[in-house]
Amino acid sequence: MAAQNGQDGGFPVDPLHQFEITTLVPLNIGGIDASFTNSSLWMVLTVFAVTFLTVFAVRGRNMVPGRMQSIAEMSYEFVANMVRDNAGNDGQRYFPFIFSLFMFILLANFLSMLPYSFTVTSHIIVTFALAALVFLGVTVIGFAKHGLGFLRLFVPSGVPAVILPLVVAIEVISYLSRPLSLSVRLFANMLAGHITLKVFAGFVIALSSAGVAGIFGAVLPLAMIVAITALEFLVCALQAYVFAVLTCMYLGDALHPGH
Amino acid sequence: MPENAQNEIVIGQDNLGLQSEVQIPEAGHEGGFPPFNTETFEAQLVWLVITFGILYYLMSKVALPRIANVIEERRDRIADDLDQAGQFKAQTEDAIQSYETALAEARAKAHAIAQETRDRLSAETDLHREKLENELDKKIADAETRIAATKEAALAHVRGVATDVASSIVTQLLGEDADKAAVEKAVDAKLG
Amino acid sequence: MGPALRMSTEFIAGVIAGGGLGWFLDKWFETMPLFLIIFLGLGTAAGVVNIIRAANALSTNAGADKGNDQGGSPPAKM
Repeated sequence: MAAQNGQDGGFPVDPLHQFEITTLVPLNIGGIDASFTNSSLWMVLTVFAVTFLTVFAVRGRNMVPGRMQSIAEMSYEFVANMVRDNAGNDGQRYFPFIFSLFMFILLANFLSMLPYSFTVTSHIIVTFALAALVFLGVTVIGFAKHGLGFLRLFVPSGVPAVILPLVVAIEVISYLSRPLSLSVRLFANMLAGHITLKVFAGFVIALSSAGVAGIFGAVLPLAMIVAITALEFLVCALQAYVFAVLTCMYLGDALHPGH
Repeated sequence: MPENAQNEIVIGQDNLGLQSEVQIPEAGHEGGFPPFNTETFEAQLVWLVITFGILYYLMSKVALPRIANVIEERRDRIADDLDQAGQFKAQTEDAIQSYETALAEARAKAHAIAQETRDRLSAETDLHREKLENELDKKIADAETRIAATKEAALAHVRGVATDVASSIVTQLLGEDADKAAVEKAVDAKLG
Repeated sequence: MGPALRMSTEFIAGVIAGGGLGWFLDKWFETMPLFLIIFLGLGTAAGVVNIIRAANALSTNAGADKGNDQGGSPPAKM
C-alpha cells in the first residue's frame, strides 16, 4: 500500500491503513463470523498483558513488592479508590468489572503505541460494545435496586410542573446519549491520535527522501512525533481513566438515583 | 494550551491527507473508512466478548483476590509490627521507670545508712565524751579533796611549827621554858 | 484530544440519541417525520445539557487539581 501510494505521488504512509482489519484465520461458527483477525490478536494480547501484570507479577505475593507487583497493586488501589469515590461503598461489588474494563482499555491503548500494532479501541464497534455493556448493566442495576424509583434520576427537583415533561424528555435523551458519548470519545481520541502520528511519520519519510535539505526539514516533524507520542501516551491513560470514571459515576447514579 | 493548538493544526492536515488517500483504498478495497466497515463488526464483537469475558473471569477469580490478599496481609503485618513496636516501647518505658525507682530507692537507702551511721557515731562520741567528762570531773573532785586535805594537813603543821618556833623564841628570849599552853593559845590567836 | 473534541462529542451524542429515539418512535407509530423532528430538537437540548454538565465537571476538575484530569475524582456528575 505504502509503495503504491509512493508511486502515485501521494502520501508515503496511508494514515488509515493501520485501522484496516485483516483476517488471519477465517472461522465461521454456527453462521456467526468468528474469524480471528488482527483485531482479535491484539485483544488476546491485551488480555495476556493485563494477566501478566496482575496475575503473573503478583505470583510471589511478596511483602515488599517488586516493580511489577507495585504496578499491579497501584492499579488495584487506584481503581478501588475511583469506585469508592464515584459509586460509593456499595459500588465495590462491581469493582472487578470496572477494574477489568479499565485495564482492558488501558493496556489496549498502550499496546497500540507499539510499532506495527493494531488499535483495538480505534474501532467504534468495540468501544460502543463496551459502552453499551456499561449502559445496559447500569440501567439493569438501577431498576433492580430501586424498581421504578430509579426513574427519579430523570426528574430533577425544583422544576415547575409546566415544563417538567420537557425536562424529563431531555434528561432521558441525555441518559440515552451516555453510551454514545462514552464510546465515541474513546474511539475518536484513539483514532485521531494514531492518524496524527502516522501523518507526521509520513512527513518525516517524505521530507527525508527529498535530499539534504529535506533531512533538515524532517527534523521538525520528527521532534513533533516525539512530542505527540508522549502526548499520545497521556491520552491513552487519560481515555482509559475517563471511560472507567464515567462508568463509576453512572454506576453511582444507578445505586443512588436520588442525588 | 499550546498542545491543543498543535492538535488543531494536525487535524486540519490529516483531513487533507484523508481526502487524498481515501480515494485509493476505495478503488482497491471494498471498505472505505475501516472503523465503519460493518462487515468486520461481527468478528470483532465475537472476539471482544471472548477476550473480555476471559479477562473478567481471570480478574474476578484470580488476580483481584490475590492482590487484595497481598495488600491485606501487608496491612495486617504492618499493624502487627506497629503493635509489637508499641509493646517494646512500653516495655522499655517500664524498664526505665523501674530503674529510676530502684535508683531513687537506693539513693534513699544510702542516705538513710549514712544518716544512721552518722547518728550512731555521734551518739558513740557523745557517750565517750560524757564518760571522759565524768571521769575528769571525778578526778578533779578527787584532786580538790586531796588538795583540801593537804592544805588542812599543812595548816596543822604550820600550827605545830609556829608553836615550836614560838616556844624556842620565847626560850631564847626569856631563857626559860615557855608555858606550852600559853604559846599555843597565842599562836592560835595569831593564826585565827 | 482536548476539551473541544470532548464537548462536540457530548453535543453530537445528545443529538444522535434524540434523533435515534425519534426515528425509532416514527418507525413504531408510522408517523415518519413527526417524532424525528421533535426529538431532534429535544436531542439538541440534551446535547446542550450534556455540554453544560461536561463543562461544569471540567471546570471543577481543573479548579481542583490545576487542569490535571488524571488525578483526583471529578466531583460533578456528567
